[in-house]
Amino acid sequence: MIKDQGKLAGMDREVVQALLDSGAVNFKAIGEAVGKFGPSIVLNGDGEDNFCWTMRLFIRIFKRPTPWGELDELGELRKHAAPEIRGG
Amino acid sequence: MHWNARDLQRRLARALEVAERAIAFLGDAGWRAGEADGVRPEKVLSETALFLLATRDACERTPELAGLHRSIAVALVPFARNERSAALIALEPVVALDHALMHLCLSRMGMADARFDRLLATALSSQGAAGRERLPHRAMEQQWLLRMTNASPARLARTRDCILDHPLDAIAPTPDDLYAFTHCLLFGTDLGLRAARFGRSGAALATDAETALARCLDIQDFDVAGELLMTWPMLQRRWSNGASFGFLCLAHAEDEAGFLPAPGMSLQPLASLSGIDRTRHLLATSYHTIYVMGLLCALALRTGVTPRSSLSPSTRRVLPRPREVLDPAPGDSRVWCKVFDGLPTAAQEALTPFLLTVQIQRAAARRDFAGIQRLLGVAAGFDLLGIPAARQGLELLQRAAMLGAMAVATDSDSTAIGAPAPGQPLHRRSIPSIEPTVIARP
Repeated sequence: MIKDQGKLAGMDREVVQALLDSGAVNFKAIGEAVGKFGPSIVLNGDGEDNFCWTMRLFIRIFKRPTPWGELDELGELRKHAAPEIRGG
Repeated sequence: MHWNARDLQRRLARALEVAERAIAFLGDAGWRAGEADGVRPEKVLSETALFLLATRDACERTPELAGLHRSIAVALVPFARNERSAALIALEPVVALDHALMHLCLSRMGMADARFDRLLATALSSQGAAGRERLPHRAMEQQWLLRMTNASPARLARTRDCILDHPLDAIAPTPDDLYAFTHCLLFGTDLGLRAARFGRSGAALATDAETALARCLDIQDFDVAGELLMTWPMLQRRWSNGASFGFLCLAHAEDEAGFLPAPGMSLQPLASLSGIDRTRHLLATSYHTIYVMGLLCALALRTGVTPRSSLSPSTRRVLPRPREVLDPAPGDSRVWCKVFDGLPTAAQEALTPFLLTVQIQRAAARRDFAGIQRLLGVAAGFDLLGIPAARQGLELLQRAAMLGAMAVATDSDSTAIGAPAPGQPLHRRSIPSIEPTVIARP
């Protein structure tokens, strides 16, 4: 596929549309594969991206930074977490 | 006044105790709670090995820590040198150094094993052993590991342009940026053991670290904040006011919680856990940040480059009551706000650059260009336009002004195929009008 400043040329777009209409790309199967392997990639990846198939990327899977919320109140952490973390 | 060495040793001892428990509870299987959270044992063990190597000198100088340090290293040996690790070194030479990290750290601590040395040397001499392209900070890690093998450093490709060769993004650094920054420094200086030359001066690197530190303190990421604070001892640089304030915040958080908490640490997941699972979960989510604090204290002790316990008054014109002007939100429970409010007036005033940096970063995150412009006005009034956040904030305004003056396609145009037909109008986005060159003095 030839990209022109982020937009597909007309002929390329027709080819893509034909592929989509024909079901040549099985997005359901891709979704299931991602669902199967995604969690382990997230857990075991080292921050670099993993890709499948050829260098013409259909799917790129990134390990996203773990989202975090608000830090709990420090006194509560001292009471309920510190003893088990530090032992004794 | 420099930070009390006994207090640094106390904090280091705390981290060592956690390392002992991390091996005991996570060394065999790590921890995995459902699909969303977990840690592999290899990660815990490798980081423990690195932690032990980096803290060894500081512990050996302290009799009450030396024995504990040694016993933890001994506990690590069966994990570092076993059938599995030997097989991985033999079968995957391209990542043999990674598999041998624990072995190499232990060897450098005086616990050698000639069999593993020979196996590793054989793996590294195989034709494909260097056949992988890595990010620059990862390449530096490989070179650092390779130096510990006494093999020829020429075997690996030279490190390309790395993140230390360019100013950091002062407005919105990403975790990956900061990871690369801190790890280039860590491996480039051999964990602070040797002086290293980078593409930019130590002063420039420390300025970058201080700018990123402001962001980390504001989002309460004490993990990366601690890694950034290692910049000062690793580069043998006198701690700045901003860096010393950062350490003060981390020490406060550690004293209040009993350990330095990881980003966003919450007790909520503990509700469904009990017994050993609860302990494993707590250790798995906390050990890294605790190691960072211990490592930071050890680096300060080893190099003698310790944080200052009180900040120096600023030598330049200061903004009186800076937080009231720059951060008027009352009741902010963030650790840095509490620590800041407890400082003497002169110390608060000396932290005006820190406050400005935090506010510019927040305004940029909100895309609040008018807010940035107001903050730059304050910076101009106090000769602070040279701090990285102000310089890059000004650049951001200049780009935003250019954007506002351009005719750009809206999202609705982007669905069209190819360029618009001649004569077809483009819609303009609504960009606020900005005159970045006009910075009002207060």
